[in-house]
Amino acid sequence: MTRHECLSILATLLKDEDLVVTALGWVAGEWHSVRPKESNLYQINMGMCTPLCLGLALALPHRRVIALESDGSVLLYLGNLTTLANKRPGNLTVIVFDNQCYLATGGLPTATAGVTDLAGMARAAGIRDAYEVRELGDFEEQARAALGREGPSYIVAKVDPTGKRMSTNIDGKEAKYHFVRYIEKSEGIRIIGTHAMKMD
Amino acid sequence: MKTEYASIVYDALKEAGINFVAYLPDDQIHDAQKMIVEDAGFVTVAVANEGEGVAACAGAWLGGKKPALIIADSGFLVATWPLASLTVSYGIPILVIIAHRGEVGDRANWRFITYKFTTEPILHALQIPYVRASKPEETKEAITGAQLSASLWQHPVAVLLSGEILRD
Repeated sequence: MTRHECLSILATLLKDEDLVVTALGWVAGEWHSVRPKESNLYQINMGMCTPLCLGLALALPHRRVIALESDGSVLLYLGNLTTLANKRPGNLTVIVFDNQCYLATGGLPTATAGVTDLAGMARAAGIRDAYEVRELGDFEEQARAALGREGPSYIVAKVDPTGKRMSTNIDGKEAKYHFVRYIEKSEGIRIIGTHAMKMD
Repeated sequence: MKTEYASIVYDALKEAGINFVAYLPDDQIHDAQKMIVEDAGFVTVAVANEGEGVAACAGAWLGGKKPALIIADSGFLVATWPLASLTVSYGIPILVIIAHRGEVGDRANWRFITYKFTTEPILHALQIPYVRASKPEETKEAITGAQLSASLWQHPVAVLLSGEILRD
């Protein structure tokens, strides 16, 4: 099972308005290639993707939020599993593409290549719906279930240590403005420029 | 922090429009944190690590909230990399309230001299503008001003609470 295959399935399960945030690494370009929507935010630095999605999900509880994580990223801020478990954002699904290595930076192994079980850790932290999947059919079933239930849901997809280096053709600041303007438009709210300047 | 000083911080955050707070409890500011948690007008997240608090605030801002991170000096040091790589790099306006110890004359023990040498130089290095509030009467303006600048500049801005405002 490859991450790209999983992403291609996930793209068919989402609505345009579902908010998807990717971690750093090749997942960003791969996701952009299968679902190039303005409701995507790409390349959130190591460890920050899930906690950022927690804040986003709490701010917009009526929107589905999906974090596309990696094992290396999750391992950097494991304490966040406990925050997620206790805060219980019903609209958040975290999908960890666990390739058991730091693929984009040379392929050295992560702890999940050894004895560490991320889904088990998530369950022990208190996230009830945390599952590991190894087959595409199981991935689709769990992703569909996660998107249809009150979350949080946590799916650890064991994928091959392969990927494609594809560009999103967008830098971080540009991505921020695109995403915020999309939220403003789709929510009918103003985020940037809420303080009017007084020229005196 | 005296209860009346905690109220000043709490009231100033409300006036600044803050409606999302990530926090990790600190001895000097937990009274203000408790007032915020008990107010349903704030969405609050108790984090296990201040770095994830930075990210939660960033996500909340992207979703239309006005976020603040309320932490101690030690937590600020923990949060430096997320502040640098997320809020400074992307230009995400979060208010960072730091209960700052270790000033000359502070009744803090040997451990706190670390923060005399680190907090302000790191704020400078990260290019996070900040304002200091030591007296109760200057705290409200410091907090509301910092939030105004964060919003206008699209950039994190910090408030260092120190001295009298933190005293029991």
